[in-house]
Amino acid sequence: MAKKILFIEDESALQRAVTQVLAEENYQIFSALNGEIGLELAKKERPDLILLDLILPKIDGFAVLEELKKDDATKNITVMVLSNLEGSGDVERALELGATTYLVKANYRLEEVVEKIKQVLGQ
Amino acid sequence: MAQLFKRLNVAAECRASRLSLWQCPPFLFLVMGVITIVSMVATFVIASRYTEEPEVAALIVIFVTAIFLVLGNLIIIGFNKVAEANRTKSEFISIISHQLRSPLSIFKWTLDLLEHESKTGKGPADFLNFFSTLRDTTESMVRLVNSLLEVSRIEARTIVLKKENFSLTELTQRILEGFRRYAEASNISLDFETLDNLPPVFADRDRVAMVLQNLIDNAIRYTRSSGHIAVTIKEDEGYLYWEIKDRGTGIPTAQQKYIFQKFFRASTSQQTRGSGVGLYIAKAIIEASKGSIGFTSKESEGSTFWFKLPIQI
Repeated sequence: MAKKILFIEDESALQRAVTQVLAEENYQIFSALNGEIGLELAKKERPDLILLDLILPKIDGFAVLEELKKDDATKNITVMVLSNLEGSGDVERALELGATTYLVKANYRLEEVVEKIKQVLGQ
Repeated sequence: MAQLFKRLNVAAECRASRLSLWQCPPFLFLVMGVITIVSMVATFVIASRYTEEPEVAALIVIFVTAIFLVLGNLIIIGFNKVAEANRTKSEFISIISHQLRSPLSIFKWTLDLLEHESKTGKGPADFLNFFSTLRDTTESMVRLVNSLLEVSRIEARTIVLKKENFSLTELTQRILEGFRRYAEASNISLDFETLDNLPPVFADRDRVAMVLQNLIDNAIRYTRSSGHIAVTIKEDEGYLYWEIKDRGTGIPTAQQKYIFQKFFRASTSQQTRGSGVGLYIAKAIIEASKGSIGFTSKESEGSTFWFKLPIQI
């Protein structure tokens, strides 16, 4: 059974890039362009992994993370933060709120992100 | 009581702002205070030795103390300004770096994807979409850097305006045309009303174009779909008055006073990208051109942004 990954990111070029390479690795990808849709899809599809950007329209990434960890339906889903924010406190705050990993998008190549995802999903 | 003790603990406060003790205004304030008190006492002791009348001694003490207080204040105000400027500079650098990361990571991953796809034997024709993304991203980085350069020119007051006579009507018309497709895509109608034969304004044409771009872009961006935007130009006592009225999301009253500040975004803004300095630059340009700029807005009802530019006599 293909593992499900939910990618919550408002920039469509990034959605396209990540969706394309992950689909080729036989993952089932769901895309959400804002925090609201992200939460809906998380609850509905119960993905195995959520890739979460922090700067999002409607509901920002931190709020989404909080909500995910509060809801029984979604609190055990692994969350990997993919963001360009690196202000003092941002990383700590995300990890405290329950994210497993925090990757700064601009520092990683697409392939490296896929490697990390495979590691996290234990394959 | 705990609050008072916390404030007195200048060492901790100074460490928090990462300044050495001798550069830290609160510590210097304390030092100046002690020096002033010591000088008061010393002056009193010395004065009393030289004069019989306590009033004269008191007056001398007051005089000397006043001098110390004024000097002390000037020194501390000076240091405060430097500390503030440093803080602002660091914040600025941090904000710019974060904003540049956004288009940079789009560029990076699109390139990665392009490389990945080219290994599957696809040819350049399949990649037109990618090239267009890369081009758009480059443009947005150029725009970002240019607007930040403009901000730094404004701060350093090295802006040099290339003033000329030009028709505000014609410039507005040209820029509105550029936005027509964008507006149509969101089903927003753009109306432009003006009188013929308005006199030319005397200002920096390219910079006024930037102002128009910013105001029109904002109006469209913050209007819900199927909205209506109206631009008007009128003559008003030696100035041309330019106005853009939208019936969009509006700006909450509590936030209106921050609208022209750098990097400020109202809570009603859904914007997650862009530099956040458009209005700051617009205000600087209009005011440097000897004009004025302002707005009225009501949340959920819309906003009207306007500016005036002088007509060359």
